[in-house]
Amino acid sequence: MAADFLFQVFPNSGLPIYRQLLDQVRRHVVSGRVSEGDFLPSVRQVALELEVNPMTVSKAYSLLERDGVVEHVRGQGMRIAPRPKPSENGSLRERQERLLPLVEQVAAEAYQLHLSSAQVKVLIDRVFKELDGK
Amino acid sequence: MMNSFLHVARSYAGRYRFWIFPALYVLLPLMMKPDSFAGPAGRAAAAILLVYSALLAGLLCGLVALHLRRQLSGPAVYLVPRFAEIQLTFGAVIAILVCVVYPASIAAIFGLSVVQAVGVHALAAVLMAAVLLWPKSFLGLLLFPAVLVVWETYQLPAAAFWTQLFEGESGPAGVMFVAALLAYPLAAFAYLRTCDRTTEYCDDLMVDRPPESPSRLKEWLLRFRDAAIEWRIGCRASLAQCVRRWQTPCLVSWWEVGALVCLLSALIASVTYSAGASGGMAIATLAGGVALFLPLGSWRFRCRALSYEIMRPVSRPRFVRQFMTAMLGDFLRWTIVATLIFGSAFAASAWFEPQAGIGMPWKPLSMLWAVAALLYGIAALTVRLRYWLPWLLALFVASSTGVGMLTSVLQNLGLQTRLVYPTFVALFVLLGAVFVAVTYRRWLMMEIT
Amino acid sequence: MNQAENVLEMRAVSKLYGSRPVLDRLDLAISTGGIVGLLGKNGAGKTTLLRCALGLAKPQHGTVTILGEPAWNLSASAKELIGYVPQTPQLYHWMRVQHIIDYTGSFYRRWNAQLARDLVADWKIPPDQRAGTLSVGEAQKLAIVLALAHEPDFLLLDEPVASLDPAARREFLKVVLEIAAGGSRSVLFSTHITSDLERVANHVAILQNGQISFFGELGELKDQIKRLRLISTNTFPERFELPGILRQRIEGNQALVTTRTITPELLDKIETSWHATVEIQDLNLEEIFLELHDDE
Repeated sequence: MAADFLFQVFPNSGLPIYRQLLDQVRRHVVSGRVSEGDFLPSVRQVALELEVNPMTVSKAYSLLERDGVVEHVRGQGMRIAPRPKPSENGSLRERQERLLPLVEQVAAEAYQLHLSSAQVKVLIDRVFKELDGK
Repeated sequence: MMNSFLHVARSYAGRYRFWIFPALYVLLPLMMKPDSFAGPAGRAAAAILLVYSALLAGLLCGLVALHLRRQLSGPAVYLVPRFAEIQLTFGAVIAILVCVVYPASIAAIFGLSVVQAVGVHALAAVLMAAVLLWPKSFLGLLLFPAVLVVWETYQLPAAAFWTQLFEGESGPAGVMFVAALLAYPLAAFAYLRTCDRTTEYCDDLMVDRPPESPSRLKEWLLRFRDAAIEWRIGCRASLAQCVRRWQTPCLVSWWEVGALVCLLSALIASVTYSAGASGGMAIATLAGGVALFLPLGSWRFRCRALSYEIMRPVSRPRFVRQFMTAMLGDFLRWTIVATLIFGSAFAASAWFEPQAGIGMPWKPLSMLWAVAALLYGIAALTVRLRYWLPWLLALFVASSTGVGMLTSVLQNLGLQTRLVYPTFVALFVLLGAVFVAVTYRRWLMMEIT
Repeated sequence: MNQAENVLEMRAVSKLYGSRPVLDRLDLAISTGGIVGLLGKNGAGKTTLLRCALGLAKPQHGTVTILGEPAWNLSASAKELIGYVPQTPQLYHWMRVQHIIDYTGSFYRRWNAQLARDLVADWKIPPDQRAGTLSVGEAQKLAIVLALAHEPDFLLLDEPVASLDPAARREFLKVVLEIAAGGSRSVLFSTHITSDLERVANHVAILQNGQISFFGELGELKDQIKRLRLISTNTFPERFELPGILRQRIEGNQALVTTRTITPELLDKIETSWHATVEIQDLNLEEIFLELHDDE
């Protein structure tokens, strides 16, 4: 059963369409709006609805599959994969390295806004609390 | 003030069509043998000169009218001070020069009627401008001779027609004949205009003008064409049908053609009856000549839009062959029309004036077909050029002159006199074929814009 | 035709008008199933490229192969599979719309009359009107219908949406997407309107100085070309000497640098050399186009 997905893309933004789709699926997974076992709408459906090139959509889908966010089920489409256990996804250090660029950007913004690292941590704790609540 | 003047002058000087006319006016008296102007026959020659210049005046004034319309509807009217006044002054000066000064001086020099001369010129100018500015007046043009018959002027003996016309002594038939004479080239021009909307020819583009639907008469005629088009589309397969299919867009239905031929035949008959065989033949020559030029309009348009046509699923050599054959077919059709017109003139003269002894039409008809062949060749060669009309006319004149010279050379080399005419004809046809072959090879290699 | 073959291959194509080179040793290869947008400034030679691709113009050097055949003398069967919409529609103004469609259709063996009828109805082109009285947008749409109705494998369009209003443009793009959806049809269209390209094209070819300065996936282009905003505690030098820089603007301790290929090494180098924080800005296609053409 396909979940009620409402993708929204902005073709004219600097972010490629496939990346926008990637991010949206990831955010949906993280925020719990879709759970494992839900099916993504088919490539053709998404392309028709958003009026974009189907190859762009299929590129996003194959990247999601490569990252393990979704898995391909024969005859039925893309299904949200179960969230991997921590040990299956690389060491702690590797995972931290992956997050590092984003953290640096947050730090740069905080520097501009004259926020200290403690003040930023307050924000991070709050967001995590909301996630865990779901 | 000076700037506005220059601006207006530049708008005329920048268009090649306005340079042709001074050249033609210079050429005109040179075309006739200089000594023909001396003595009593000089008046006849001057009268003929006036006829040609009336046609030229008509054409020039028509083009000036179009030019004025375009200029006065553009932004320059608001931007350049006193633009409208200067433009109108220019136009008026040109009109006065060609319609009044030139004919008046010629008439005065040769002792012809100045009033008549100026009148004919003014008539031509007004008719032409009217047709070009208001295409619906096209129909009125054909009725013009009938209206003029109401005028009672002088009596007319048939033979010295032109001189007496310009001496102010022609009767209603004479006036009608002149009107018809002017009407037919003008009508042909108008017909071409409704067929073909290229800017170089018809000057129809105006700022913010919505696309106009064809006139009611044209619409009615076009319906006959639609039926023929639908029949054509259904044809497939054989080569002849392929060619016919290519002709579909440029189709002129037999109904239209038949109507035109009937109309002209009726007119020729009536003129022959009233003004003699020479009058009928004159109309036939003019109308026939025009008929040969008529297919050029729509084929010119098509030949400028070849990027569409050539992407149809036909290989290039076959495409060129089929396309050129289709064009030939259209020219053939109009040559047949011209032949029919001539035929009716001959028939009329044989019927009404058997004593004039016009005789068998084989010679003029073979000449007609030879000219048509040459014209097709030249048209194929020049139709894709930007300045096609000057090129076409120039090549035509050059070919005719060249063939004439070659024939006289052959005569000096001992060609029998009775073979001169057939040689002429044969050379024309040969030249036409040469042009066609050259065009074929060029089109195989040409790039399409 | 082999699916894996390229629908269009241009190798070392040079086309000169007089002494002016419009295309200069140009290489381009388009494979089946893509929608390729050709982007370039006015006068860059997009129309010339398309005409060389179709065999309407002959390049002085190089080879052009379309659908496996040399472009100059295409066979009838190849032309059956190609659809072309030139820049200015030249329609027979004295013929009715339906007649023009039927006339064009009479040449093709595979003509989908129903598709033509549907498109004409959807796009509200009055079928009984004479083509001379159509507005510019309607004429353009009719030209597009004529190119689509025989369901070509390769569709080439020269500024197809230049005269269409935004709603008509969207509809047209939808039709293009439907055509290319199967993956066996290819589309090449040249345009100035980057927003349309961003929506439907998956590949972009940028024509600059007679050559294809970039050809690849649109997403890749957007991933690679980024604008960096650098802020440092020290003053920056007059000029950055870094590889792949397209444009730079330096004022004191702030700088805006547009770079062609963004790599982690580049970012590291910037940070270590000048103790600068880097903010990465995404550029859309219009901005990328402007940055690429900035030095002209």
